Amino acid sequence: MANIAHVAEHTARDLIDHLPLLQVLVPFCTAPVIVLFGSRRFAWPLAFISSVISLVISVMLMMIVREGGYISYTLGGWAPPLGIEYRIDATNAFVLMLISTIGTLVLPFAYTSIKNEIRNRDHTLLYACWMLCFTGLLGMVATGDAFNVFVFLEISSLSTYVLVAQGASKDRRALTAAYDYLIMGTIGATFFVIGLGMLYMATGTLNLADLADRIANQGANRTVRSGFAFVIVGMGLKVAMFPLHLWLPKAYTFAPSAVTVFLSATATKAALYVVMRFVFSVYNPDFSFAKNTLEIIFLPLAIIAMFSASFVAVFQVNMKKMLAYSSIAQVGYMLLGIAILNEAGLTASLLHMFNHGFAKALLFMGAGAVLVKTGVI
Amino acid sequence: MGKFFELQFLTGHIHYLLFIVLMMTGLFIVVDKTNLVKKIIGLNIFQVSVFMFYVSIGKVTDGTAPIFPMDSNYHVDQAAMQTILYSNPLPHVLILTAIVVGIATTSLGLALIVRIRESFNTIDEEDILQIEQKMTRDDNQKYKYLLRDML
Amino acid sequence: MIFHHLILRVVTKLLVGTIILFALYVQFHGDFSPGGGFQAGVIMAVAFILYGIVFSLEAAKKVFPEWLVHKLSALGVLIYAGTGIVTMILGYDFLDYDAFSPLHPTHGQHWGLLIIEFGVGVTVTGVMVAIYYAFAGRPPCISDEEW
Repeated sequence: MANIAHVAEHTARDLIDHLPLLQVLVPFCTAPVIVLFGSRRFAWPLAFISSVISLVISVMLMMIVREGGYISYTLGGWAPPLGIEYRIDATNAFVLMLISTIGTLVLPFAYTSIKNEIRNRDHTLLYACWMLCFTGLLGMVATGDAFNVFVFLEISSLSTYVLVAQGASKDRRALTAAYDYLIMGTIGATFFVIGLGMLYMATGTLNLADLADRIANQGANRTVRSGFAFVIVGMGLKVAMFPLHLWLPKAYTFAPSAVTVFLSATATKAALYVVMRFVFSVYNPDFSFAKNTLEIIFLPLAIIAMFSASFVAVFQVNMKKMLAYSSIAQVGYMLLGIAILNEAGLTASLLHMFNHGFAKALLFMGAGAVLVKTGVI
Repeated sequence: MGKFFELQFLTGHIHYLLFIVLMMTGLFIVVDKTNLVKKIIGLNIFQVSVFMFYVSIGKVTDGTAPIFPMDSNYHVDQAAMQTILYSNPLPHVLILTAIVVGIATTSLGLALIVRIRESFNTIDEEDILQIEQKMTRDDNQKYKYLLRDML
Repeated sequence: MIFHHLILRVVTKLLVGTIILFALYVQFHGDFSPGGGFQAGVIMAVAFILYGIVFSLEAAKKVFPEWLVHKLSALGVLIYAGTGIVTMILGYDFLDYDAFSPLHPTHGQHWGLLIIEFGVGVTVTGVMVAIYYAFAGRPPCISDEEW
C-alpha cells in the first residue's frame, strides 16, 4: 500500500528540472568519454562541445534565477537537509556563467597553444584533466552541501596539479611549481575539512542553508568560531589571499599558457565565491567574530596585497610572472570588497570578479600568443 | 584556564588532544623537512589526523557499527533493531571520500617527485632551490640581452 | 629476467585466483555485509599487483595491458554516471534508484547500488593497477646512499 502511495507522490522530471545537475554532469561525463575514445582527434572537439553545452545551460539558469529566488535540486531523491542539494541562486548562476564562458572561450586558444607546447601523446589525457578541472570548479559553485564543496574542490585541485605539471615539457621548473602547489593546496583543503568537521560537530548538518539557520539560532560558541577560522584559512590558500599566495606566481608562470589562462580566470574566482558564501550566508556578518575577522584581518591584508603585489609585478621581466603577481593584487581588490561588509562592497567584488576574469584571461592569452610566435616571453 | 588541567577534562577530550598532536606532527614535518618524500609523508600524517578526528566525532557512547541486524532470511530484524544503539555513520562515510582523495594526492605527489628526480637529479629542496635560482638568473640575463637587442 | 623462488611462484599462482574470488565476494555481498566497490577494487588490484611483483611487470602487462587499465578506469566512472542518467531519463532525480522498480522501491535501491558499486569497483581496480604500473615502469634511479 505504501509503495503505491509513493508512486502517486512522484511527478516526472523534465529537462528544465535537471539543469542544475546537467551543468556539472555534462563536463564530468566528457572526461571519461575522452579517455574511452582515446583518440587525439576527438579530444578537443568533445571538450569544446561539452563546454558550449555547459555555457548554454548556465545562461538558461541565469535567465531562470535572474529575478530572484532559487532552484533547488536534490540528488538521489533524498530531501535537502539530509541529502545532497544543488542550489542555484542569482550569485551562483553569475559565477557559473563566468566560469563556463571562460572555459568555452579559452578552448579555441588552447587548441593551438597546447599543440605548440605539449607532446602529442599527452593531449588526450590533458583534455580529460581539463574537463575534470572544469567540472570541479562548476561543482564547487553549484552545490549547496558543504562537504560536496570539498569533494569538488579536490577534483579541481588534483586535476590542476596535473595540468600545471604538463608545463615540464617546456621548462622543468613546472614540476616543482606543481609540487609546491600540491603541498599548499592539500594543506588548504584539509584545513577546510577540519573546519567542516567542527561545524558538523556543533550543528549536526552539512547543508549550507541549514547550517546558516542553525548557527543563527544557537549563536556562536567556540567550536563554531574555530570552524570559521579553519574554513577561511583553508579557502584563503586556494584564493591566494595575501600571505598565503606563495604557490601562485610559480604555478602560473610555468604552467602551459592555455592552462594559465583558464586557471587565472576561474580557479581563484570559484574559491572566492566559496569564501563569500561562508562569510555572508553560512556565518552571518552580524556575528562579532565574523565582523572582526573581516575588519582586522581581511581589510589590512587586502590593502597590503594590492600595493605590495603590484609593486613586485612592476619589476618582473617575465611577462607571465608579472601577470601572476598582478593577479594576487587583483584578488586583494576582491577581498577588500568583501571586507567592507556592505551591499556596495559585495557588488563591487562580484563585478571585479567578472572584470578581472576576462581581463586577466585576455592578458595571459596575449602572453601565450607571443610565446607561440616567438618562443620566448 | 584552571579547568584545562583537570584530569577529567583531559581524559574526556583525549581524542581531540591526540588529534592536535598528530596534526602538528604532520604539519611540522611538512614545514621542516627538505626531502620531498618526507614532506609527502608529513602531509599523509596530517591528513590521517583529520580522518581520526572525523571518526572520533561519529562515535556515540556504547554505539555499535551501523549495520542492520539480519534474521536468517536476510530480512531486517525489526525486533533487534529497536534495542541497538548505533554510532553515527555519516562522518565515516564522509571520511571514506577524504581517504580516497588522500590516496590520489599521495600518488600524484610521489609521481611528481619521480619526475623531479629525473629532471633535477635530486630530491632535496635546498639543492632544487639553488638550481632554480641559477635558472632564474640565466633567464633574467637572457631577457636583458633580448631587450638590448630590441632597443 | 630474475625469477623469484619456486615456492613464491607456486603460492602466488594459487593465491591470485582466491584473491580475485574474494574481491568478487566483497563486491557483490556489499549489500549485506561490510564491503563494496572501494574495498573490492583494491583487493582485485592486489591480485594483479602481486602477480606483477612475483612474475615481472611485463608478465602482468601481458595479462592486463596498460591501455585496458586506462579504459577500465574511465568505463567505471561512466557506469556510475550512466546509472544516474538512466534514472534521469526514467523521469526521476539523478541517482534516484527508485526509478528501476517504482512499485518496489527497496528492490530498485538494491539494483541501483549493485550497479554503481560495480562501476566504483571497476574504476578503483583500474586506477590502482595504473598507479602500480606507472611507478613500477620507471627505471630505478635512486641509489641506496641517498636515503
